[in-house]
Amino acid sequence: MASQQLRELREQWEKAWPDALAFWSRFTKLSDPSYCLTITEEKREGLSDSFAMIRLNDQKVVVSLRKALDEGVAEFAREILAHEIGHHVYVPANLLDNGRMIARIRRGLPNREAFAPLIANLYADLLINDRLQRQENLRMADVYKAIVKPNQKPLWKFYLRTYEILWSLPTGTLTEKPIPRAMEADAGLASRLVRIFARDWLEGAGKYAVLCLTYLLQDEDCDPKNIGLMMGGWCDTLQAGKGGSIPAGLIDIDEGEAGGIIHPMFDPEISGVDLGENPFDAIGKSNATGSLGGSRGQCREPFEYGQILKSLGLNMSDHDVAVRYYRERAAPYLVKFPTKQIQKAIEPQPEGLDTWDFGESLEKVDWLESVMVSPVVIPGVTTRQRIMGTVEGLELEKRPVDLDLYVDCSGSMPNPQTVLSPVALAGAIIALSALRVGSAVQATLWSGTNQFETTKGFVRDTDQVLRILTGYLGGGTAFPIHILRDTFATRKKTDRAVHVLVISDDGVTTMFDTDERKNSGWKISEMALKNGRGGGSMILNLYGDWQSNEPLVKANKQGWDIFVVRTMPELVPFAREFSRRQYAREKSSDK
Amino acid sequence: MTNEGPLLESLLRRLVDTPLEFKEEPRSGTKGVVDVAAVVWDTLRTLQFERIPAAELQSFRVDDASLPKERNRLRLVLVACWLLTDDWFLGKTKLQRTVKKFLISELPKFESYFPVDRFLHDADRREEFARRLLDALSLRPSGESENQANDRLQTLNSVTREKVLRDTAKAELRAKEIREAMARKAAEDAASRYGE
Repeated sequence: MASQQLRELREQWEKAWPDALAFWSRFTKLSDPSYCLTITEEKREGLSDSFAMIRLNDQKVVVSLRKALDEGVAEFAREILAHEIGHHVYVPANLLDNGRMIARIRRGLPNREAFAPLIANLYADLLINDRLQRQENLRMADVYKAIVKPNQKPLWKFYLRTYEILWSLPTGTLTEKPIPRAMEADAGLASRLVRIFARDWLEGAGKYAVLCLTYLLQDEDCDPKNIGLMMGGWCDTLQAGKGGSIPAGLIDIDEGEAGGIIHPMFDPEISGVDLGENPFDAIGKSNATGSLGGSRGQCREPFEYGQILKSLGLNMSDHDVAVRYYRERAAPYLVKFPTKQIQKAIEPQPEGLDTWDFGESLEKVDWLESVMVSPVVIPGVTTRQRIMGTVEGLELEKRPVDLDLYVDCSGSMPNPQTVLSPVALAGAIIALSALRVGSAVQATLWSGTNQFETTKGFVRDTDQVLRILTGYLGGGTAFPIHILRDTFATRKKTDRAVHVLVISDDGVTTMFDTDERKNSGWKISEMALKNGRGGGSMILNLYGDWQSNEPLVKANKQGWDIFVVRTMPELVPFAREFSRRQYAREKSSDK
Repeated sequence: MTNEGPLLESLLRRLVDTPLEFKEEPRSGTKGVVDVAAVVWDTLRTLQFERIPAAELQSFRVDDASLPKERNRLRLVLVACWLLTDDWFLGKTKLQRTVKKFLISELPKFESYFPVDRFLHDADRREEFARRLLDALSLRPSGESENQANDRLQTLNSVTREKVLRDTAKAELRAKEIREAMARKAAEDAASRYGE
């Protein structure tokens, strides 16, 4: 039960809310904060290591008045509420910008990436607090005076010293003396960085991370799980994305994201000193061009994307991340998926009247005909309804071709959840293109004998298909011939046409081996193409040309279109060529 | 810093409002616009100080050849003169000796840290310059204790900061290769761990 003191405190904080909103703008609209008075309420709101926090998914401020009282900050309602509002309207303002900030900060923290959410929180707090203290005359310094504790860790001490410099507070107001000379210089740089990048704050994020890296490396005991408590118990953006949806756009690497990561001392605009040497991008560039995990080109690798999402507080499995990743990356490349023209089966035709009775849908009553029978309407007696029949239509209807997708995830294939797999992406492009025009997709993930996962039939669920496409088994290589056989053996001519797509490497030739019933794989693939009536394609990650591979030449003669996709630059020509061939196939079959 | 001086904010405001005439090029032989020695003379007279001997004004006159080297110092002297004509300094004849000393021998020691074209647009450097002037005159900003004034000047001290940064830069450069290797290692580790 909440005490009377806490209930009175809630009233005071509720009164302070409009003022706090007005510090940012008279037009700022946010729903009222959630005030937690008990531990149970804190747990329900997900508030653990802080007395206040924000949630970007529902634009909510959550405050634990119980903890605020314990930390001695209960009297700073306007300051704390205005600070939390600042996270919603200034830094980071939304989940996407929070993700972009964390991406930059991660680049500045090699080997300490786990601290990226914390450093992002500190950087955002600096920007917000400096504005509130200097422009709005709020008592932000007094809030920190209340929450500082003895035995300050290097990072925390450096952070507090930055405030002292920013607000012209005498040394020792927030920090424990003595301040090492290097820390003094770094705090000076941090204070200048905060002022210089106050408007374009994203640009300064990586540089600030490099400054903090020194202090994270100094402190071997630093643990990202409990550092929040050590740092005054005011970590309010660590779980900002919890429960939210993934913002679009985080796969792209911002221009200057890696290039801007330098130590501020080497930026004469910040340090005021031209140090002559030019070690620019020492950290950011090495992260950007590494042989593994380096985000070459304009997009991140799946693992880096996943780590950023986790840093945002989004609780997702690696597989969920991969599904989202390939869906977003495939979107710009979607192609025209083939459809077949058929004569429209039915058209409605009115065929007379019948009595409408109770139990039938009221909308079916034809009121005009009913009152013509009798001006006094007696339900079930005088009520009439129109009977509609059907006739064979004259118009042509486009019917989509379904897709039967086989994805090789044997050990020789790259794990699409770790690094970008161009063949998996190519598969995603075709699958999403098919689903977009109304096709159903059967997806089968395969590796060694009896190692497979399948959607068990043709489905229209995008997530289900992409989960198969981005799965990984990493075993031997044995194409699931029996699934291909069973899918097409009983297919009727009246069923939809099906395009068969196989994603693999040179292990694709196992589809021409004999099945468990000693049937020839060649015969089965021929039957599949014939009964499918939608053609077949192979997207292969081959080292050489397929023309020098005898079974593939034979497969091509059988009717399989073969595309080699090894790298991203080959993706666009593939998509174009696939679309062109399917279009030609569609036109010829229509004739 | 034993005596209380003017409000720091009024000096900072004055620096921001430095008139264009005080930012003009110093005259040297055939070039330039402003005769710095004349401005110093006028400033000291405005402050009601004793007349400065002509010999002491020589340091504010340079020839064409030495102008490039002396240009910033002379321009900084002009800015200092503008700052010194703040109402608070008028009639403070006790400051006569220290003002002269500041303009002639103190200011050249740190002028290279205050390029006039840049420092007037930098809040920290404006504050440091104003504090250095007050410090040279044994004054502290109004409302500040001696310790506070000292602490803030030390915080802003460009000379110390550059020395520390140069020392730290050497270490930073040494750490560069280590960090690059760490960054690569981190990326490799993350890629290999992902999905486990």
